Amino acid sequence: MSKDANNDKPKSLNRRRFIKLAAGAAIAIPATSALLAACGDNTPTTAASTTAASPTTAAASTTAASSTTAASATTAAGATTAAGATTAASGTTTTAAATAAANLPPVELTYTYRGAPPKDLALVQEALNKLTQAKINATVKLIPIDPGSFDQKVKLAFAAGEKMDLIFTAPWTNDYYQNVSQGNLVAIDDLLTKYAPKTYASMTPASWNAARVNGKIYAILNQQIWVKPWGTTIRKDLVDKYKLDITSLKKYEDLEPFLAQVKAGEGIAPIAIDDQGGGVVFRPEFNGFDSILDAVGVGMKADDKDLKIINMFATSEYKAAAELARKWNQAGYMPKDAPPVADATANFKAGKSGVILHIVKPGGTIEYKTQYGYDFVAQSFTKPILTTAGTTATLTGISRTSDNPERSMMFAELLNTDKDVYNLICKGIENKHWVWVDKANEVIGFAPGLTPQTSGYNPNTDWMFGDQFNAYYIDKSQVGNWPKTAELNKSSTPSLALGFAANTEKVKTEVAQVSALVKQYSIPLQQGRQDPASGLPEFLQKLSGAGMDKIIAEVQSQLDAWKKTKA
Amino acid sequence: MAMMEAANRKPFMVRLKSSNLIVHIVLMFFSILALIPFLMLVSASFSSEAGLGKNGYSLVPQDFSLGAYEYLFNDFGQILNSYFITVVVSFVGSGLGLLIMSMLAFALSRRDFKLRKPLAFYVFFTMLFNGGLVPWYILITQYLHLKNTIFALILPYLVVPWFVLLLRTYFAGLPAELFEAAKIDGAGEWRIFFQIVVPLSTPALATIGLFSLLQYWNDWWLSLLFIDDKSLYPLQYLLYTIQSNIDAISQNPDMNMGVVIPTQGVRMAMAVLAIGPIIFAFLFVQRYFVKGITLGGIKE
Repeated sequence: MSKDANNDKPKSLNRRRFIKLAAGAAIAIPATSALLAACGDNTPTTAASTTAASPTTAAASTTAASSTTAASATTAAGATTAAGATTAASGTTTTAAATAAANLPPVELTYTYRGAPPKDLALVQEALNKLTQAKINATVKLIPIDPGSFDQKVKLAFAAGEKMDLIFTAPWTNDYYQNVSQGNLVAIDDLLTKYAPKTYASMTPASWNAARVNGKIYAILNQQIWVKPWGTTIRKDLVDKYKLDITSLKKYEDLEPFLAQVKAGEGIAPIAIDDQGGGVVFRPEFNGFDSILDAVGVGMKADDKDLKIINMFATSEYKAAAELARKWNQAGYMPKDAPPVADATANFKAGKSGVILHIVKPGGTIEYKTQYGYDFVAQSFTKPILTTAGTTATLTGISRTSDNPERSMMFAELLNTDKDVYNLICKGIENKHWVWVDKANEVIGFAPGLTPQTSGYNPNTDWMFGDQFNAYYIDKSQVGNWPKTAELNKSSTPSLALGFAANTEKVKTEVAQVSALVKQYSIPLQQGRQDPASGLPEFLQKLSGAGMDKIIAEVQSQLDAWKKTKA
Repeated sequence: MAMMEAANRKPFMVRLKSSNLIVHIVLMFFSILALIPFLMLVSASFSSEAGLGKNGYSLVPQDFSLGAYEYLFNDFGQILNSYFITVVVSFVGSGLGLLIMSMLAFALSRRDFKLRKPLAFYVFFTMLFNGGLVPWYILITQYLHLKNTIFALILPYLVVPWFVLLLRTYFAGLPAELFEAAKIDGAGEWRIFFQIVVPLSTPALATIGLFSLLQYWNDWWLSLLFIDDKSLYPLQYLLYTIQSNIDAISQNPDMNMGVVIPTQGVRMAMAVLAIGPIIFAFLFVQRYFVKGITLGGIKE
């Protein structure tokens, strides 16, 4: 009995202690895991930056199992010799000796990009491999990675020296500039001219400059709309009713008489605005700025030979635009309040708005029609400017860990010039995923019984895979848009800072503070909801308090350094 | 728990003393606080997107719609498959983990085990320091070759140092005399562990088992790192990708082609799907919590 009591005491105490501990655990575990997660976020960057310091060591140590990687990847220039040597070796394949492809030894490539893995991926890959085997004797493994995990996974794969060939990169995801500085991508200047001459020729030399870092190109530009032709899109019924000659519009002020007529005749505030900045009057490119850091209003005059970085909010153009917006607000051309986007859309559908101030691109009026249900006509005010941000929005690079950079480039050439290959990866398999609606004009539709949701292959990201101007149209109304857009790109004037991209790492805090202010002040100012006479000085004062000058100084010093490398 | 005990002993009317009543009201108040958001979540998952936008959340579905579930169940096979993966990973992982952790903890709790201190330090050390994400990733993908295998989802969480230390503390409180007595009666270490320690420690094991189960159930981090193959996506990661794809589509109007996705509703429906079965694990394991506490309480 006494023994029991003795035994029980520590036991029950122990149980209590345990329960306390367990309760502690319940609290501590999420906390620790949060901590761990936070650490986890930091680890890849630090680890990756160490590899950046010495890309060669990283390659050597991580791929001990496959020491060939580093050797073959670094000798991009020696690609010809490799190709030449292998031609001799492949004398054994006699069956398809007639085709050029047979002169190449078979290789397997990977293509990593950002997108949800579709259901029929394996089918498309199989069909794709039939084409690529015949053309370049290579099979391609498609590796789409979900958008939510793309950056993380790719970062780790680079850090771990995993084998990859083609990979999607951009300033906004799988950061191109970070990849270049860490040595994750192969410089492709020679490969490009040798193995993808048609792709290289399809874009102006100026546009290739946009992708240059320290004088070298590290990724292929995926062609799509590169410029921002700001202008206006107006409901056709209103244009007809008030007999507006839309081609006469050259700047925002020219809209005024028409706005007055609509306001009087329809009793509505014609310009559509929303709380996310829809309908603002100041647009950098319209005023000839290259907005290098758009979110914080830091840019330069695109034709400024001195390459002087300025605070765009402090310019006379910005002030004039704010004053115009205020005038329109007072006159009732713009609504007094900016609703959320969903409400703004509903208002538009209900006929309470009629004038959109946004980008005017080929086919844009059709998109607006599906969105709002009206016919539209559009007029651009802006002389298109080619900027780094616009041109490099979507890129395809070749990983340092690639065993076959030259064959990867050949595949990239197919993606950019071969309509069968490109549309297979963009749209899926003919008669399974899509059917011809109008073959002469290259218009396709979903295969019978399929919708965007039920189709087993509908990535709908043409701009991810290559030259978007080779994409089949998905609606009759789009026919002819691609050549027009290509022309728009070609006719644009390159900014003198084309090829420069700012790195905001050192001024992160300031950028965060300033962009918060921009959201708070700039949108109301440019929608006329705030009086610039009092609002603008306050805005500028707050900006300098938030470190605007520091951002400008930082970007200027980077731009000066860039200028030196260019000269 | 107090309520359950009281109910066992006294008739209802006697229980309704004023002090009890206050306790009940307080408890009810808190359980309602916990229940209302949950009900709102379920109701929101059955509301149409327009209804949610107009009226916000409510306890009864506004403008009843199955749109969110239709969107999620668009690929029903995938959802089922992911459920299957999650269930397998959770139960195999937590079962195996519990076995290994409790055996390790038992060894660490024995004073007569010579390597106790260094081994305990080794376990403890990993709580504070680790090799970092990239080396860990390289280990798993290039040395263990676990990428795109189900083991990548199980192995990393098998032994959680914190749980081991919890169990060790519990085991250390068991009377050493018991083990001695068992030894004299001819029991080996295995028999002592499985026939004496385990039955005496059910509350501790159940608690740790539940923690481990939840850790596996809620995890999407391992699959984010190591799984590309859609047939191996666990439920949480599948839902995570569905959400991130919806976000990607809404950021890129080019992609949706005029398809309206019930964003809010889908988010809620996903939460409902994710908590569905695991909520029963609580009911099941709660028994042990109660038992553990009451046992200690009565005997004292």
